[in-house]
Amino acid sequence: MGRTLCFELDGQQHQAGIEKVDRKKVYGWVDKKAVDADGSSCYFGALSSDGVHIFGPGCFEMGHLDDEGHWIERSELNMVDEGGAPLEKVPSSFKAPIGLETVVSPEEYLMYTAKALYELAAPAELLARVKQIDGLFQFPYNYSDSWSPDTAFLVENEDRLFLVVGEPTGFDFIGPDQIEVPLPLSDEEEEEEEIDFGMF
Amino acid sequence: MKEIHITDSRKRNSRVTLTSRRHKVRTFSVDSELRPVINARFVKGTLATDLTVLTKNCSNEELARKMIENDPEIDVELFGKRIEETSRIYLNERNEPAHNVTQREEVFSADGTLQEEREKRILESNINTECALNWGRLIPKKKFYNKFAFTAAYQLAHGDGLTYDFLFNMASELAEKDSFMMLSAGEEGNEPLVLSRNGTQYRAFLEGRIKDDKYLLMVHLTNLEMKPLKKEDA
Repeated sequence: MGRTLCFELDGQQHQAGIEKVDRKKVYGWVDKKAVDADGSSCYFGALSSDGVHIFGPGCFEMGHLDDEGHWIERSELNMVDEGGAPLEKVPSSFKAPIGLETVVSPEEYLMYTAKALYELAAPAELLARVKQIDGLFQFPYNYSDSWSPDTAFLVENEDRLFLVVGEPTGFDFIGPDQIEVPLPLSDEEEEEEEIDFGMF
Repeated sequence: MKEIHITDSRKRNSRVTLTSRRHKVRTFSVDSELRPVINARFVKGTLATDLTVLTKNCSNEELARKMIENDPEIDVELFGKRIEETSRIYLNERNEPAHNVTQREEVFSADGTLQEEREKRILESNINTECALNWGRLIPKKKFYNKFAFTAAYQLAHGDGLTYDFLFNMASELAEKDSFMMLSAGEEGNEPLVLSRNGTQYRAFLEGRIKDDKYLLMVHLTNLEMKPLKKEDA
């Protein structure tokens, strides 16, 4: 297990190590390899729009500019929401205990997609409490200090505890008069593929 | 617009709309006086100033001497220049644009062992073919929601009164049974869904809810089980 989270429940604190559940570690992966006519390996580079300069990996760096084109240091950046209201930077969830106060139904949980999945090395008392409640614990979660914390859930499966970092789907009920004009879906590109998903 | 060709429990089929999420929390970068800040890409160097190129025909000591004399590691014309549009190209081992590039795949097991090398596989989308997705088996929602990490979701939506009835009834049936319906593709009805060409293969579960005359039909997609990482702990 890597880093440790501290959960606070009924006045008691429970330490739990977390480890990311990576598809690669569970199912393996597929690497794409490009070769030229001679059979030698190729890699992605970039060509400038005038066709004069060739860039390799690591040739670019991102930076920030104000509206007059002046350089802004990353440390000077602030964040605002869509309405322009300043956002407070929220400390990482690893810096303070996470209060387990909100319980939601599986239906509420299913209104989120999983951005990340972690396995928790949780003490037996915490696991027992999670199994006991009718629903799931929901709490704000920040892997590192950030302006907009995610929503996470504690999910128990077969006596194992997992932390699911969720992203709201934003879906809502549709009535008969609401003919949907959907947003176009972006084409997916994937670098890895599953090689085994034999649970059915 | 994306469409899905789907069958209901009465084996009636229709093509309906598949919509993506539409409310994403958005934040914007500003400076200390809350003025907008833009993200931009700048040039750090080119292949000609890359260490591997610079050390190709000279030793580190020689390069150190050249760096003191005339800064070969810095392209003074380009360094720090803002760059927007570039084209993605393949480069060969000699850092030259490559031609007649073909793709191959290396398949690794979870422990990192190379299992197979093969030609690149093309996966075609299979959600809107002649063969409609079957109404599969029902799985109790409460016993099942914690078995997988649902990494993506889409909503089914109607385009007219007929498809409204079709989808409302589907949602109503699933809500009444408090179950997911497993959606699979292919003639045998056992293949994972591929939403876009060369997209991710997903196992898919349809969930339905109703509120008065409104319905919510979601396809939950997963390619990751909630299971322990270490086999000895399983």
